[in-house]
Amino acid sequence: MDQSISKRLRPVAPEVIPDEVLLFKILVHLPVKSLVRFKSVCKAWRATIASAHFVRLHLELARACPPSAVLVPRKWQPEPTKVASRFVYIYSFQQPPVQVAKLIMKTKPCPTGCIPRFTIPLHCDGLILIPSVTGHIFVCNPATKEFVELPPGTPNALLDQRVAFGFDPSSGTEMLEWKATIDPPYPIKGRTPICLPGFFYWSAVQSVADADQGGKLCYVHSPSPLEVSIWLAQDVQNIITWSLRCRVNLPIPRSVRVFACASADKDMVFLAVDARNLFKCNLRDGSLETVVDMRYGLKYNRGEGVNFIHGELPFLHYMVPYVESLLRIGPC
Amino acid sequence: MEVDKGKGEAEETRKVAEADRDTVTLKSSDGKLFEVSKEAAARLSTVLAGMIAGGSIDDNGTDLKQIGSEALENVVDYCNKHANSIPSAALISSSISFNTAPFKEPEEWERKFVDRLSHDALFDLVEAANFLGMERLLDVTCHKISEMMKGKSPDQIREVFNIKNDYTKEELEEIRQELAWAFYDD
Repeated sequence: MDQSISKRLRPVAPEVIPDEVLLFKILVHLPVKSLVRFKSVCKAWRATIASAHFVRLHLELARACPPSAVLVPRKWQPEPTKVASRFVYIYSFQQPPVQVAKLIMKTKPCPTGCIPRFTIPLHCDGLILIPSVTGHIFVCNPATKEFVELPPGTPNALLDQRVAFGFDPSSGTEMLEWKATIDPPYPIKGRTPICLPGFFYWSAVQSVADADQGGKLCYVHSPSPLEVSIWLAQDVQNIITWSLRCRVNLPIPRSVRVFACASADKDMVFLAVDARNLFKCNLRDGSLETVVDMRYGLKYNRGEGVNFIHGELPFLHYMVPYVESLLRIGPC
Repeated sequence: MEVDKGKGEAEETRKVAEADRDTVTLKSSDGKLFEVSKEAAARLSTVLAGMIAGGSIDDNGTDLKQIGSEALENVVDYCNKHANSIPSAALISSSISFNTAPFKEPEEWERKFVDRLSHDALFDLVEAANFLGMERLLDVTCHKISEMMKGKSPDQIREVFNIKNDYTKEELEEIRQELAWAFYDD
């Protein structure tokens, strides 16, 4: 059925498809970009698309689909407080053989004029949180192009700030709010916690929970530059048990860290060695497949007609799982 | 599929039905009769299940005045195809109630089933599925329509769904400017 739907021979009587079906069975399947455009169809559609009920139904459908991933490149620099960039660029990651990452969103220049050095972004329900080393925290929704800086939180003993980001199923709302949680039992340092519905998982010292893989926590332990072991956690009635899923020998040594990112296939996880060399790891047998060297093999497309590669430029290529959503960040 | 052929088949199966009553006879708004397996009808349509349980099924053809013969033939065709495919347990349990069951992507045969329909037939089938409380068929047909809407302009959408534009020119211009990025093609 390739012909345009506007070429229907007779107009549809308005009563043919009831509003409830049209809005909550048909519109709700559309991607965010189409929905934003269709806000201009009529006032009733605009109000519905903005309603909390619609946003939640749309999100439930998105959550049920396999996650995609975005790439957030960040210039590496040793000086933590130095300006990293005026903007953050968020690109969609596409599965090979496509080696082009397309720009989804370029953030507005932030109120303070620059984005400080940030660490790996977090994702929850279509919102991407960018924690920076200076304590400035940014949240954006790449699908709706919203971008805000959060008000400051409370610093820890080292006058540093760590932020957790997640969905609170007990409140049932999609509001973003600062909420005091109990203090973690160990000092939190240098890492941002992982969040699954209702819980934050903080990591003390070096141990890091890296990615949630199909709702499971995944911990990538790298005891030596060429060794990686992947642990998955099973959470049964709030009791967490970790089990070693596989051991992997890296074909290239890591110098700092191996990042993990969930893939659309629940038996596969992306491993990004030093946030530069991307591999796909089969959790069943520990086999590793080279995806791309993100410095040389990945073309970034900013929609300006030019694809560029980062090459030798000192960039980290953070990869974050992502689903599209209509969630708004604005104050409630 | 020809309507006449459907009717012929229906009448043939009716003779069998009279012997063991495993089927129900449905009558379209234009008076055509269709046979469908009682088990499939009860499983896939909450309305037909209620009528079968309540004994309000007419052996000479249960009147469905809201549904034309083309749409009813598609409904029956869907029920038969569904009975022939191996439905997963998840699919059966998903046809419980409106807006609460998790949506499952259409299966291959369901895609083929909706892909061959004309636009009018598809819209009529949405209406029929909604009327008969056929959650799964409604999901599959609605999903198809949403796929057709992607990439369309607001003007095209208003025309297809016969929606009146109630914005002033100024309001529309404001929205377009604010959300300009959504109006460009990828």
